[in-house]
Amino acid sequence: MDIKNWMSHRIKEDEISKYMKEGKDFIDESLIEHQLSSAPRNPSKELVRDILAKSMSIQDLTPQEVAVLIQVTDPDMLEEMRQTALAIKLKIYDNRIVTFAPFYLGNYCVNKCGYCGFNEDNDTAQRKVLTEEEIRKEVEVLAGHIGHKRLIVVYGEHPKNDVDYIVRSLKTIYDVRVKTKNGFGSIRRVNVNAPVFCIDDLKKINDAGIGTYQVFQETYHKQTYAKMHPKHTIKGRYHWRLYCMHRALEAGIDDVGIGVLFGLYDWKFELMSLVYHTQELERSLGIGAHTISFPRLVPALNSMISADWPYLVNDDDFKKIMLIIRLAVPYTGMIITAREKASIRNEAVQLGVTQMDAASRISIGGYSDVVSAQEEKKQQFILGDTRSLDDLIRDLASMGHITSFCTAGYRCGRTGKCIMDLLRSGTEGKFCKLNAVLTFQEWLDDFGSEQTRKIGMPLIEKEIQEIKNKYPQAYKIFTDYHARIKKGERDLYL
Amino acid sequence: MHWGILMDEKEIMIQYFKKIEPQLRDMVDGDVHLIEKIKSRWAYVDGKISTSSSHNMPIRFLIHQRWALVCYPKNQQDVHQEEIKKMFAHL
Repeated sequence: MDIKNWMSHRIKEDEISKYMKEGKDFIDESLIEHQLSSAPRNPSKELVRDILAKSMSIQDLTPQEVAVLIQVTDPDMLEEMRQTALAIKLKIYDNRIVTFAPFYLGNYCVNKCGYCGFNEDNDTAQRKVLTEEEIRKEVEVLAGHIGHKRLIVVYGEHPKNDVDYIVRSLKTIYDVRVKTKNGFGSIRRVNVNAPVFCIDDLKKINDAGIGTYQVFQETYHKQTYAKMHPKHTIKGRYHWRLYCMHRALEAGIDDVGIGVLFGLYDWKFELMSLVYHTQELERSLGIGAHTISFPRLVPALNSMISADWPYLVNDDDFKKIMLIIRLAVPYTGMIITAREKASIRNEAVQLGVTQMDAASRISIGGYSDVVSAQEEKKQQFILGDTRSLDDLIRDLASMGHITSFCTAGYRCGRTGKCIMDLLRSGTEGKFCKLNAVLTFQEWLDDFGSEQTRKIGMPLIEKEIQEIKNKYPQAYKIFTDYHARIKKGERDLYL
Repeated sequence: MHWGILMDEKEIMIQYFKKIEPQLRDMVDGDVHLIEKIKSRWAYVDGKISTSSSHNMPIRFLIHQRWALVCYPKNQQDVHQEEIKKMFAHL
């Protein structure tokens, strides 16, 4: 295949320009810099508390308000922010954490991103695209041995894993059904982290039954973006990427996930830009970001990023980033991945995070052909948390959090504007709780170790009692489903 | 009506749903959402999302290979699926 020819047809200029207003995009760098520099240093407690009250009433914060929170350094006020972030998380999402697994299908890539192990110029990377049979084998491990129900599938940008490959791979994944100890396992929701596409290609992906379409801008700062993504590459076109979610929503994909690779540029600027992005989507297309991700850069071999890179984010600032995202967009899902160490991820749960991966393998074919948890030459980055799913679930349960494998909203019409409105109003939490308990029971019965069941089962009993008291109208149907699951029926949801 | 000439199937369905939504809401005494079924994904398309109604337990059913409704009735017995399906049969 002529790769240069393939590359030259990727970007559709009219699918950038149609979204711009008078030739301008929605990231006004000088305005953001001004908002950051004009926000009061050490803002008063009254001002911060007014903003926290707004968050607590589940309203989006304005960029100016976010700039104020960024300036808070007083430990007492930071603690109030932390408590508010956790209270919001519990109000909207309750005490549940949704788990998923990353699934890398192909690491061929035509881009040359300065921070990525898959960049075309990295000669040490071992390249591969999984065949349908290999995909099936991987999913059998994921769904049949580990117990995952939700995946984020990851593809590089290359004709070997183009849109038709993505569509075929989604079908293959959804078709796998594996016998488990007491029932069967299958993948029920496949989210896609893929390159940026034109509207016609996004329609094909939508028709394949995608969950969330996830693309990270990496950095919203144009000069840094240009430095990290060479001009002659597809990813080098800042605006093609910036408007990919506009195209996705127009193509009918109504759950979109955005994110930043924190550490490429000043985290304060990036955080403000994320807020602008989600507000732009809401304003222009009526649906904001379904999830926000905030991977953090670590220096890597063969990378432009060295240990003295000025924008690397330390742990304290990283925690501040998480809690400000929770406060700024109170109803949006927040994802922390196993890039981070277990200790940070455990803390993140108290800062408003709603989703995390576990038992992750990020090498191609890493689930069915495991040599070790880390295979540097096959991975995009190095994992910080290599806990098994059983270990993660036990740790979360001992902290009082229930692990949810719920994929009900996606299969009940609670998507797009509907799910966002229900989350915003706090009513989705009920369904989350019911489905979290049902799927947690399924997982414990099929995959839980004795140790984890010992901690998990009392937690389920506690949750059932709470459902009885809080949602009496749902209790009867819930207990019916719960009893059926205990007898071996699977995939019952409300 | 010659909607088919001017509009695609989705637009026809949305227009028709909008027209009968008040009647459907009365019938089930709660929210009714039009859903597009795309493989295993049931994607929300249209219908009032009221926070009071969404406390009710949903009932979901296909009205067509590609289309479904999710109702949030006060009483589950108020959802007469066959009667509702008939309202879409001519499309």
